[in-house]
Amino acid sequence: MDYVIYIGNLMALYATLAISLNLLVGYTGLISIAQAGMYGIGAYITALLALNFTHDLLLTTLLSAAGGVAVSLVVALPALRLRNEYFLIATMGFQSIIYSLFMNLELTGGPNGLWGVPHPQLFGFTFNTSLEKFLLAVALAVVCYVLALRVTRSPFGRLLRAVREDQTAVSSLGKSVYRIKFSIFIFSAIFAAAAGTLYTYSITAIDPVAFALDESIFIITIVIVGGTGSLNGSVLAAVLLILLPEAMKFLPIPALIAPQIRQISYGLLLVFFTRFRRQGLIGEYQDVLK
Amino acid sequence: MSTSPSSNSPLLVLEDLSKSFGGLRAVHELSFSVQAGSITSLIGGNGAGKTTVFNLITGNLGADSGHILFRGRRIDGLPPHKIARAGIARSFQDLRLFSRLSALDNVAAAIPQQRGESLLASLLGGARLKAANRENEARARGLLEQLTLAGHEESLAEQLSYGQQKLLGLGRLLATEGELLLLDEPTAGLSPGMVEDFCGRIRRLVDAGKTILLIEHNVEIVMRLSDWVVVMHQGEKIAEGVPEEVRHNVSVMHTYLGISS
Repeated sequence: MDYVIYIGNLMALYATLAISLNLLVGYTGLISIAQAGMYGIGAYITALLALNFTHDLLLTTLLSAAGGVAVSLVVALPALRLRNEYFLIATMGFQSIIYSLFMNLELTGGPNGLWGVPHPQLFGFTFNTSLEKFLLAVALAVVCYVLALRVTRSPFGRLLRAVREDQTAVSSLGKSVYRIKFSIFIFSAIFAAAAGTLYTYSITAIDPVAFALDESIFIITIVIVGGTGSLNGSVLAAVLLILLPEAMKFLPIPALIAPQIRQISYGLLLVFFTRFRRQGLIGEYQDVLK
Repeated sequence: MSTSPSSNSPLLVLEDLSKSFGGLRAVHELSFSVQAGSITSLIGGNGAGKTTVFNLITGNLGADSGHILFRGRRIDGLPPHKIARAGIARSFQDLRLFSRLSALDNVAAAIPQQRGESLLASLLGGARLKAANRENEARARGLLEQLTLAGHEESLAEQLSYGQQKLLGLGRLLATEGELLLLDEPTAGLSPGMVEDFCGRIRRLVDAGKTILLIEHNVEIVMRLSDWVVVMHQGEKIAEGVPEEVRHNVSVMHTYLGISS
């Protein structure tokens, strides 16, 4: 039973990561490969706080989000001045830097990571079962979904899509493209970092591999398979792509090569969707990635 | 009809503006001014530097030297969105519509200083935001109606016909409430009937208090609409004046009207 709840927990966390990334990739046309890095920032800040200072849920979530904002400022200031593929490469660079820091700093425990994270507390209540932690992850995903929906349906959301279509035209209308991109980049990082917080509390031990480039590519795969510009698509694809490797465990694949098979199948999905079904499972737009 | 550029203080002044791309002098020591409430046309053959002038005015390109004054204040060096906010709106030769946004969204996006344009305001929501959004949407619908695009509100811009796209581009331009409108070949590619329609619209815009700087290839339209004509050749101004004067200027006939002796 715990196993099923754990899978559900992952689905909710990846739904949050995918929705927040979709705001960048699908709505604004900012293809960021740094989402796992932002996720990791939240996870590590939470682990360090919980191990050393406080495991108050609200406080650690807020401080992790603040850390996500701080790091995304560092990424955004140079990267958002760049266009398209240069932005992508810049975020990939930051992803690698963040990963290297996790891997090599003494503070983050190097390749072994951090473990023994205590259960989170909120107003005297301790979340110590996996079901309770699962419900936290679902709550975060719901909040993220509702706020993302609100943003995308607002005049601000209209400007996001306008930026995706034609930045020069947006600035000719008296709107600052930089401000628009900057706001959504920060918003996205806050939710990625908050997902990191709940991830740390869920598994109580973290290591750098969970926040490597592969993870960023996995999150972007969810966005593309679900459909760029579709929040529902991101939720659906998060559920399906988390289920996929679990389902494959029932196939007679040797445990030794299972992770590779998993990577290959994600790769194939990515190729298939970008080549044959650009709107994703339920997406609206076909050529965001043109 | 014609006004000489020295009669009032002009809305837009270009002073000794130059821009080179590598060895190519796209615009060279260009000076002219645009009177408020007038239609000024910029004419010249392909590669004369007309669109470069637009890009310099709107801040999409930085000038190598020279000044641009709008309402008496320097605007050269400002980023494009600040120049647009100051009151200069432009259309593009290749339209640059938001292709996969609805016609309504294309126009609504251009309305200045909307409450819900900030992320924070849109997250907070509230009754005032909703009221402001409704009001802006109604304005956008009104503009679409004026441009005979009623009924196409929800169509994606890319689904409209070329003529409708040009109208939509004009709607987006008008939604900015800019005082000076830079129109880059507004009638190119249109049917004769629609060309007439556009000319009427441009005239009515001036009657409503707008000022227009026009790039146009159709000489008949230029002669009919303009209060003032500036002729460019290889990045330099070779003549300017009221349409009749320019029409009789020999060098214009050589370089632009294609009448060679």
